[in-house]
Amino acid sequence: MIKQDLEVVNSLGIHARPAALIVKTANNYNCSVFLEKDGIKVDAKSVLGVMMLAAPKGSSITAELSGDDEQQCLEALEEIFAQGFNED
Amino acid sequence: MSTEQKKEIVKIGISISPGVAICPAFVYRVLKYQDIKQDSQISDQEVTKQIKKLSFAISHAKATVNMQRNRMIGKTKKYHLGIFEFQTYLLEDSSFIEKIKTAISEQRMTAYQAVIEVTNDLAQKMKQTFEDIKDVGNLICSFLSDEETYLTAIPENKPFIFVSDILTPSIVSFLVNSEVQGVITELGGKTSHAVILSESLRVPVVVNTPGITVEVQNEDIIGMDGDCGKIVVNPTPRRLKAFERLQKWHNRYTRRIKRDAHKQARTEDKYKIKIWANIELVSELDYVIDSGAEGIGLYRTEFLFLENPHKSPDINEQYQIYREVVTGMDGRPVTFRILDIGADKIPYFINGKKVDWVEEPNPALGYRGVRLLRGHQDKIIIPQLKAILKASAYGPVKIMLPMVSLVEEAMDFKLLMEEAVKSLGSEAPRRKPPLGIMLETPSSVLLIDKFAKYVDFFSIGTNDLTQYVLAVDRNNAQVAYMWDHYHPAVLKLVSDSIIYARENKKLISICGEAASDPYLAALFIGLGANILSISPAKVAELKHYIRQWNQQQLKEIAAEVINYQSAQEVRTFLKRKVKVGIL
Repeated sequence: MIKQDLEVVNSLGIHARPAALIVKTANNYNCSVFLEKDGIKVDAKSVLGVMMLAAPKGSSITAELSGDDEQQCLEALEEIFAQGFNED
Repeated sequence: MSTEQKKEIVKIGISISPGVAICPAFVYRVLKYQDIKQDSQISDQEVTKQIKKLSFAISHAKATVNMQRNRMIGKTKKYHLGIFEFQTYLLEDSSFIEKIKTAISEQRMTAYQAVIEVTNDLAQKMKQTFEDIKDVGNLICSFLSDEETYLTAIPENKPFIFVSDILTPSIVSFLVNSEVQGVITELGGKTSHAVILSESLRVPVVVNTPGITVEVQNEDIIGMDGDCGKIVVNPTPRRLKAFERLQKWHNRYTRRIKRDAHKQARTEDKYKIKIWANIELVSELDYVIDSGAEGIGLYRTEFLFLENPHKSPDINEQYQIYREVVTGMDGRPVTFRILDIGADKIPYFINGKKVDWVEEPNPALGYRGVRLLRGHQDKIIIPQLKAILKASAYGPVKIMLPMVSLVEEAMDFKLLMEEAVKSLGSEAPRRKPPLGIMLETPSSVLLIDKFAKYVDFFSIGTNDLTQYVLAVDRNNAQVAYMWDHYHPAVLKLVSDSIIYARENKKLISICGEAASDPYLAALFIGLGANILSISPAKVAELKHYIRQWNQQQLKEIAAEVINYQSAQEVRTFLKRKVKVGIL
């Protein structure tokens, strides 16, 4: 299992479209992916879960991955977070 | 005159089907979002029923999102398409669906109420996605709203004009057996699936009239002119008279044209022109037969594959449908175009497997048409070819390849066809159907004599040809004005295609939208075309015009305009010289 903090950098935060992008990315891997913010922990493979985080710009989210391809999945997630979900 | 003359409202929409209607309105809204308070709780048995209804509505909602997405591809930035992905994920999200099911089974709500309750609640919690969640709720509800009520609400034994916000295929199917005289919708464009279906109602259809469901009330009198998209609500007595005159004239005109629909079209100087029809759905078959078309010049098979997002039709299902079309045409030729997907038409699923298309920066120049088939020979092409080959035992069939740009593509396809014949074994038809290509790319026209070694016929697709030769995307508002079938560059390619096809003794037809325009049809005939494949709605009309034309004169007109330098010059000259009228 690996854990890593990810920062939300785009100005609108995690709304519908970024949520879909996160789910799409997580779904490409077999490992389990959970995201946690302010004590709320959700499954990154559920779009409803990801939106529950209601994460605005500047917030930090802890990703917790477990499975064979956890490293590759984490790298993919880091990339889309860093790019601000291709938004700004 | 009535003292309570209501205010007259005039609107102009986009004309889809021609005709004139004067009738009371029946207004229907599909997309409503009401907070319905729950009166009573549902029973145990009702719970199971409501959950079933919910699953049905969710799968339809998913298919709709998929269709909307497909329609938007290439017309919007990739970024905006993400919203459809969000909707799809939400509709597939088991925790979301569980929440609704729990509301049904534990709080004893109806599916409709449960969807509203759950989506309202979520929308409140997640302000950033408020609209997007409500939108999904709306969509599910549109498939839950009691179909029985609108079935019974549609007036019986009474003519009416149907006014609604959107048109869905299911509404069209309800209207088919009613006395509907006209259809007006707020949204929709020429390419939406339901709008294409609505042509089969054979009544005037006008779309894109924002606000009309709010401004019109049931029983308001509407006069509509489907030829130009004009709608007048509560017309003044004077305007009503004018509409009545127009309707009378229109009816006489239609009767006049229809009278000779099934006769051949020959020019004054006895030059025979074959008029074929383009078709998308088997349900249009009766319409095509009735139209007077002497064959099917283009059967777009992609709708078969786009219709059901969960499953592509297998060989047998395809065979049944193709056979129905071939036998229905009763000896007249049917041209099957091999699946043409990519660019703006992309199915989410092929054979039940979700397809992950790579989003392309330039889809019109990308992975589409015949190019896309290369990677899907075993799954798509061979089965489709086998189904068509089997159906060819029932009548004359032709097979046509879309979006060809390299000669190798035609060569490869010939091999595939042989493979399909071989694998059919004893079921293979005795006579192999002729194989042709669409001329849609400049390279296919420039190398037409090379292609002629490998194929039996050609068909010009004017829409794509125009796009590629002028390098203009007509869905891009900033350059759309440049997109023009009348452009001399397009006409030169059409002219060359006809000349070289003749030289190589190959049949050539024109199956693009341009051939439905009588002025361009006249020009094409002047350039030597003798097979035009057009929308079935226009067949009788075009035949009527052709009988008044003289091929020798059209030749002279064509020889003149082919040397012009702008679309505008061509258009002006044709409008002046070509007679388009009713005898």
